[in-house]
Amino acid sequence: MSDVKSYDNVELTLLNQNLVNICDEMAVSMMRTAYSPIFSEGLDFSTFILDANGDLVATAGLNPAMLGASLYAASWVIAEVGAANFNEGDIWIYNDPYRGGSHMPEHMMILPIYVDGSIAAYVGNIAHMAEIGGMAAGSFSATATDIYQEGLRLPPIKLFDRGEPVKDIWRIILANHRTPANSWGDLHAMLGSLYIGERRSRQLIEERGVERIRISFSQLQDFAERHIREEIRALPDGVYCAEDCFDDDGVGSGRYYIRLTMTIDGDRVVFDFTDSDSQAAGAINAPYVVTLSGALNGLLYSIGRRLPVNAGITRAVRVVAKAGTICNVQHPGACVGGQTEYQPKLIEMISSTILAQIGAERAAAGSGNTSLNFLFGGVHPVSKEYFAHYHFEGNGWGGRSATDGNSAQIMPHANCRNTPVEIFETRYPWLHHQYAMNGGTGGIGKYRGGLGVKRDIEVVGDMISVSVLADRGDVPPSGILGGGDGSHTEVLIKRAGNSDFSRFTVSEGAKSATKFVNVRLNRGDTVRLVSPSGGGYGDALQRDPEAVKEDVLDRFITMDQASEDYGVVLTEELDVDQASTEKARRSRS
Amino acid sequence: MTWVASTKTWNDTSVDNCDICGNLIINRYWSFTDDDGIVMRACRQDDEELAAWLKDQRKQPGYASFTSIRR
Ligand SMILES: [Zn+2]
Repeated sequence: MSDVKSYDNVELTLLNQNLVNICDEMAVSMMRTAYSPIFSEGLDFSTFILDANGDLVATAGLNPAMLGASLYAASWVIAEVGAANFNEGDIWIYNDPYRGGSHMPEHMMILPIYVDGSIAAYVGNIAHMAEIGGMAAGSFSATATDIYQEGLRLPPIKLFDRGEPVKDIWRIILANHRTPANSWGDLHAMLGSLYIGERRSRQLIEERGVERIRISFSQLQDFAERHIREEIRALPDGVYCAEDCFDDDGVGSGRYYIRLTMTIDGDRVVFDFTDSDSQAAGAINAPYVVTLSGALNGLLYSIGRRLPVNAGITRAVRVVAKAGTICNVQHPGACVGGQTEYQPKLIEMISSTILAQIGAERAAAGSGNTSLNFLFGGVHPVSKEYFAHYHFEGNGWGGRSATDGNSAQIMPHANCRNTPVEIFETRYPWLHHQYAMNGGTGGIGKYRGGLGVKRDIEVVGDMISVSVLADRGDVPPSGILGGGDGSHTEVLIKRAGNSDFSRFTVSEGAKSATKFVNVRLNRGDTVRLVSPSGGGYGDALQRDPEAVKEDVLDRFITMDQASEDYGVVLTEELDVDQASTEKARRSRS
Repeated sequence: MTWVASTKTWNDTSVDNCDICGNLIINRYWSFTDDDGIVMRACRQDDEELAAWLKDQRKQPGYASFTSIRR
């Protein structure tokens, strides 16, 4: 038994905040030093601190989609490599989705912190690199049928050995990415973030002592476990089922179903995905860690607003996802779309479909739930350099029990930001003709679905190769409790000289309207991205007439929709005609 | 019912998965024989209990009962 004093709750809270602040500082460093907009603008990364066993102690509140990898994958890598094979000054990197990577663009780095000759902790980060090779510029190969078409796969390997760069590894990585200068810069942004994390963590550990830190890390994890078990215990025991589907897998197969049976059993939850479809031929599969991440995020969205996020929360949860299913892809299955398209569906199955069975006041209607991944590459007409970029689009979220759905916002599980128009037009040869809320498309309800966006961009260079991996092209986000469905995704093209937009299936022979790669566009061609709008919550006839009026003034709905969908009659001055509205609503209820 | 070493040579980059939960098997696995006489490889010891629990649960009415809203 150690004679080192453990922390009381006040000290623990302060320590937790200190650790989270270190992670935040690591994140700011990465944002400010990266080369690619996916880092600096998109914030598609996470930073974290692990204990000496590789178990998560703290993470910055950035990208929840990476939660599973932060919680599980680092410890798997440390177990596989073996702590005895680490040395002071080593930095390990990997992106293998079969051993804990979420999808191949996301690279994890881990640095062990040695104090008095032993590993006292690790710092790590995960970041989505904009280009890692593979069949499509931007490395989001929507029609990939195996992992080898998705880019360069790295099992856990040393990027630095005892403080020295492993140059052969660097050369292999840079030779296999289309934009090596960006990769060089982004990898160094990740390194800088690690070094800051190491410095701050070392200071903390040395101030407080290795043994006391070890005990306090363990206390923090125990606290999180107790907290989540209390939250789970407060939910009614029972068996809850939900399913959702993909439109298609991008290579000609039909719908694919995710099926979840969630059992709340006292203070633990079992997520059972056994009934889901077999692994798809296309790139919509999820690695096991993405299923873990989605299950935990769905649970946390439902219960854990003030929960410290560390390894303690995993102890109350079991996830059963058989290898070889869409929920646990096996070699050589493709899986780049799992993180961006599958995980949000899974979260919504828990935080909407299942939560509605438990308590409607906590549930939300369906959200757009596609990243609408839009990738492009080409040679810049001015710099003559090859460029590649990965953009994701905001969409409409579902209405909730007390408020409308958010509009034009990246899905909650990613918590990222889209590419600003200024970046599109200054770094790449695009010109915007339209970037607007897609009015009239939010699911009707007491609380309306948020609006997706409509973006028209014209090629102003000689050639851009574009790829898209999206979903919700067939099945729009669902309304709940009487609310109406939202709208679906559309990706359209208008070739120069044509007057109308058409689907890529019609114009370019793509097998899927929402998943295709390497369509070569020329000067004057225009792409239209239309992201889905969210479903509505509750009966539209119960919507506050003043809110309906505001929607008309904001052009979120038309006068006709106000009348037909909401039973709200507006005067010529756009005020609510109370008497006519009451009459119209009475006649319809 | 025993732990079995599952080390791989350096030139083998494949992974193995738990027969019960799908998780990675790293360095070792828990080997046990289920009620049907099938030898299972599990990532952790308590997967043996989880396997029995799942088998029982799957027989209960309402388990894995999906009301499709999207067909
Ligand atoms: Zn297992």
